[in-house]
Amino acid sequence: MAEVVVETRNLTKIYRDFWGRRKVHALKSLDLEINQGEIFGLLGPNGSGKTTTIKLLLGLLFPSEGEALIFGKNASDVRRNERIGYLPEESYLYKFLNAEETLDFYGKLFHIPAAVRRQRANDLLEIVGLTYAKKRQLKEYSKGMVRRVGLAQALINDPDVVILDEPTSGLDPIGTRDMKDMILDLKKQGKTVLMCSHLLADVQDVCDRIGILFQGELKEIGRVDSLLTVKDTTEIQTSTLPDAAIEEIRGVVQKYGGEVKSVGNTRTTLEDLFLRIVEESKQHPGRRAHGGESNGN
Amino acid sequence: MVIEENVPSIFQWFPKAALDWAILVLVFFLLLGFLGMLFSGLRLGPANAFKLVLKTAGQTLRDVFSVSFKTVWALASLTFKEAIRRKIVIVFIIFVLIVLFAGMFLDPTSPHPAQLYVDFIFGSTAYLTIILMILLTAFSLPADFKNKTIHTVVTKPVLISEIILGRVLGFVLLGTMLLVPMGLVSYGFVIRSQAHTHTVPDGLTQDKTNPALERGVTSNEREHRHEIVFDKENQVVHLTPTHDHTHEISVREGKDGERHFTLSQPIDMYKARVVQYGEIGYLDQKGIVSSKGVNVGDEWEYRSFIAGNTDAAFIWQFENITPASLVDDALQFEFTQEVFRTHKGVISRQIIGAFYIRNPETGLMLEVEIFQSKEGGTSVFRVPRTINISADKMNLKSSQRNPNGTSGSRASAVSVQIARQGGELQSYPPEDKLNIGGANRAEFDLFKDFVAPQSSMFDEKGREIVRQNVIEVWVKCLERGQYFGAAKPDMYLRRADASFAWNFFKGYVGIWFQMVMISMYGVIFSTFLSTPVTVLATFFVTLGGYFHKFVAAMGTQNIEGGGPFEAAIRLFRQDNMTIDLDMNAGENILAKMFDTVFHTFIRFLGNLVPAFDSFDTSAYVAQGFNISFNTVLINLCTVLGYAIPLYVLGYICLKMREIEQ
Repeated sequence: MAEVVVETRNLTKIYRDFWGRRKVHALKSLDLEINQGEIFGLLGPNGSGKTTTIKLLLGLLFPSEGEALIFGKNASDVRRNERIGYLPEESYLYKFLNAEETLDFYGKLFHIPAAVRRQRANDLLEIVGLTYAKKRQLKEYSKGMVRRVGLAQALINDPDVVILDEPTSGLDPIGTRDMKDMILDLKKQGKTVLMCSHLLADVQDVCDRIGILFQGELKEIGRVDSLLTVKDTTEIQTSTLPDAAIEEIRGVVQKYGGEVKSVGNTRTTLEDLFLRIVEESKQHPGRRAHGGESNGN
Repeated sequence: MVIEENVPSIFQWFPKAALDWAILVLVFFLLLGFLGMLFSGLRLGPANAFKLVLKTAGQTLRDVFSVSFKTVWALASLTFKEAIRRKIVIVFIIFVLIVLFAGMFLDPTSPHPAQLYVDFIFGSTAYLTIILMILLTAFSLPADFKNKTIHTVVTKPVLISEIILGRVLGFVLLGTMLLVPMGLVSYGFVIRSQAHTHTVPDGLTQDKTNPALERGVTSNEREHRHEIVFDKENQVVHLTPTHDHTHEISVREGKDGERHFTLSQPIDMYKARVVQYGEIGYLDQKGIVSSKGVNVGDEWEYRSFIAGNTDAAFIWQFENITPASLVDDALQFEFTQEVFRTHKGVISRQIIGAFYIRNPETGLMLEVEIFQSKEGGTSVFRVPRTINISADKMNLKSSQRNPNGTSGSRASAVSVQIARQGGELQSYPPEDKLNIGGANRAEFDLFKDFVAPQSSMFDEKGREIVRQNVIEVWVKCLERGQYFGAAKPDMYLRRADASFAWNFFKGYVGIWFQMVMISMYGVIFSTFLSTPVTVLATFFVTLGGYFHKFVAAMGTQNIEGGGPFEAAIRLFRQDNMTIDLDMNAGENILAKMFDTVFHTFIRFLGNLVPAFDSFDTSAYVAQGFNISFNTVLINLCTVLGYAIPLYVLGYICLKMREIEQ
């Protein structure tokens, strides 16, 4: 059985005003376990307590009740942070530094030797695709570029647990896809990832397990594939069939007491379409792309 | 011009100061723990609150001592880089501009130009640095909270204590990097600004009264001239010092027989006098020891006065007089006096006084010089190592020791009498009554005859104080109806001068100390206050530091008119503040009780802030006095004494704060 690396026990957060009066019950008795090597997604609408959970785990907020543990230690033990990488909701970085200096600074906080720090910074900048802009101050960066540096700083210590708060926020579709690929890469390297997002497609694409929060309460938790399986519906995908074949299949379904709910061509996602067009444009500059027709329609 | 230096040796000062410090810090943190328990007890219950306070105390002790220098350095470098990237160097440019145009608004006619320029330069450096530090520190951590950049720092293996130290160290580094070039520019400016020489355009003319002398004046440079006196007989030329300096002058005779004078750059303008202060005592008009002199009605009772042509005298005792105290083989005393006249006196000269040295054990006394007072100036008295009475025109005198010296008075000075008739100094008690070892000698050795290897005296509490290698210095006013006024630091023994450049540097170290303190307060306030409130809080702390004496005075119960409650009652009743309150006992006790609470609170507040003015040693540099190493060390210890608890306090404040909130 995989080791539990992130754990919350009866984790509760109540925001109070200056006089100690209760304002918001942001998180209610959350019990959660995340195992080593899995990608866990926290889902929920705005204000459901996703970010609060992450901040409680990181010690940015103090729990009103309960415990928030990573590697079995609470936030007061800063040595545990040596194995944690954190990408905040917005990349809160020092805008007067350039990308190289940013990674160097955060590397120093982990006491990484200078040579290793330099090498790792270069590798990470290569991975996030910012080598060309590493000498520019972050204040000149676009939001997406800052986000990439943010991810790089979260990985500078080669962490065992990576906590990502809305990792795809502010990224264009290509950046989003890259980010998702990087998250999957982290899993391949055996790292544990906790991410929260309200972009369901992103979570669906990368997460092994998810938890759904609503108004501070955990409403559902489980594996993505089992949670998303609609048990009273059967889906068969084939290559394009003539109308006669469809009619015949409809008869077979009726014969067995079933009901055909819809028949038509499979629809791609807008993300796939966009990425195909961009790819085609790269290969044939100056030519109008046909991403929409290239799927055979 | 004198500076009140009452700085004890670091070895005398440190043990008591360290003990006081430890007690105060302990009380402060116990009080903090008690308050913490009180507030958390309201929410968590007393048992949990106690546990929480204990846990916090343990964690605080662990975290404040286990900081990693690498992390602190990384954070300090970040702070430094941030300030540089935000073009902080502009402050240095402003400073250079101020210096460049300083000549336009500094009084060119000042009789003390060196003092004026040094005062100005130190003032501008200090003000610029202080304002800069207040603003920089106020914008640092609050900006981190506002931009949430602190989120990416505290989620790394970084202790809160390291964040505090990193910030402070960053600002201190930055301030140092600014102060170094400012200091260099300032030094160059101060030295170069007064560079000048003179010519002697009209030559010299025969003195009307003394045919052996020729007189003349130099050209007018920087709003002053020097008088030149040429002694034809000895071929010696003398230049009158003015504006705190003189020049070396050389004479060359040309082919035409004309004398040509060449004056060097100013000398003695920038100096760092190393001085030794003595203990002062007084004799009253009958020659009896007194705890102070006469009050001539000055509101400011800084100086006490002695009446002229009486037995009244100032007596200073200097200890540790050894050959190392000599400058050019002589002891050099400098004396600044105030004169109070009850009549105009002789219009053609100043008030006459006499300067004596005396062996406190044998009573042997020597009149070194009869001098004219220099009101607002300093008289210099040189006592050579080998004293030849006839050659040096000195008068030997004796004074009798009083074998029945009482406690609470200066045993060696009680009943010392100088025989006097008609205002003129006359003969002294016969030699056989004195233990002076040969009063008929014409030559005396300063150390053998006038320095007592050991001398004891009694302090005000009757305790005997034994001093080594002691010499006494007496000053008397010789004119009836006139008074000399002096305080303890008005007479000092001047030792070999120290380097002015080194003194200038120590003056800058004083500004550095102030800068460090302000950085500390700024960073600590910024852990729990927003930027504008931090600016205000740091500003008021700085102000409180500069008016520390006033705040300390408010914390005592010796204020005329009482504390705020008593004063309010007086206002309401329209009672004069000099009279006793006409109240019944209960009312009186109540008012005193409230005032005591107020005074205690003010005293507590006063102790939270160091006396910034004691760090400010620029007056020493400006007035040409050496800043003693003890002063620097004591100031350094004071800075550390405040910095350590402030650091711990900052840690607690930031630790208690939810980063996200």
